[in-house]
Amino acid sequence: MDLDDMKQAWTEMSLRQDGLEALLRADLHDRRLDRARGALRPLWWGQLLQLAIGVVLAICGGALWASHLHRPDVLVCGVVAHAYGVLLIVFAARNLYLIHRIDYAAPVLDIQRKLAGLRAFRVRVETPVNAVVGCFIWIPVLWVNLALYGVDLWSPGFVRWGIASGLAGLLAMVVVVWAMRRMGYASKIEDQSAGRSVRRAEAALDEITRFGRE
Amino acid sequence: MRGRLDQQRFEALLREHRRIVFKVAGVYARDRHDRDDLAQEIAAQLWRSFGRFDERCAKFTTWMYRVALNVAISYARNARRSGADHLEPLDPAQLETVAGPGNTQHEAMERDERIAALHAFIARLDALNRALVLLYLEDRSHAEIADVLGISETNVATKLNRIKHKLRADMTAVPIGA
Repeated sequence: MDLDDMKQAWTEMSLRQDGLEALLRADLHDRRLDRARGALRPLWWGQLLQLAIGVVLAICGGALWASHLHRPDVLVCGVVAHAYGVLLIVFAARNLYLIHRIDYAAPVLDIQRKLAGLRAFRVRVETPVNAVVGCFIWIPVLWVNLALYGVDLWSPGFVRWGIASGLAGLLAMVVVVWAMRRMGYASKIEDQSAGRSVRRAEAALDEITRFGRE
Repeated sequence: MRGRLDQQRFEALLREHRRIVFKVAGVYARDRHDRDDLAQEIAAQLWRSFGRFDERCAKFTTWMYRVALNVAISYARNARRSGADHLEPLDPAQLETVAGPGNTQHEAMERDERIAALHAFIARLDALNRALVLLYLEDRSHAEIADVLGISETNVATKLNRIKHKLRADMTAVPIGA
């Protein structure tokens, strides 16, 4: 049996089309096509939300440090919030640009390479950066609020409290991960974090490169 | 907002070539529910991309294969990420054979063997090679396959030859029906 016999088998069978015919007919008649979900639509909305949060954070952080140049404590916190806001904007803008560039009518290999590249960047760079920075970004935000209410952030007690809070946040994250592993969610965590997702994204990129080269 | 004329033209073209949507969905989906979902997603993406379709640049079927395969491959990759690590195409429950009235029992058995071998063969392919084989089985020219996939015609021929050799080797090792 060879590929030409396969071709004969292919012509000898046909997909049951009854249900599918009805499906397409319903879609066309109800004109639901524009509203049907696209694979990248949730990502698109997520990135728009991230962009909005980034803009708010950057504006607030910028306004804060610019108006408190004489207060080093507030200045530092404002700069950190500003920088994180800009980081969120850059990541979101990059992803929105890549999603926008994806034209499904382009050759398969081009589009699959773009999609794999988008995913690889998200799992290799964006997720780890957001996970680490996200664990600590609440500290400067809280400090700013406290500083604006007159709390002296440089008092030894407060600095100790800040460091302890950061460590507590980190510890809490470790405990949550450990507990979820104990409850049998290990594979889900690995899939969400760098490990498995990165391997899959890289495997997809390798597969595409190999296919284009051979 | 696109005009009604555009939509009517799209509907007519989709009806005329709907087989492409069904075949692609059947090859990449894991079960009936998946296949319906995928067919719907392909149709939706075709409509979204239709505004940019230019018949001077590509044949409608070439354009349609590109969109359908891009959606299906992305769908299959997402399905794998969400837990199903293998693709099970062509669920036998989704298929019906074109049984000629004059078929003898022996001919029917041979045909079933061929179809079973086809299922097994497609199931072993990765997403991109599956697209290549689908286009070959659909009797598309090497030029059109190259155009859809974005590789050279030589590359198409090389890959098909390699698949043929591998298939022959596999068949020699494990006879169909054994």
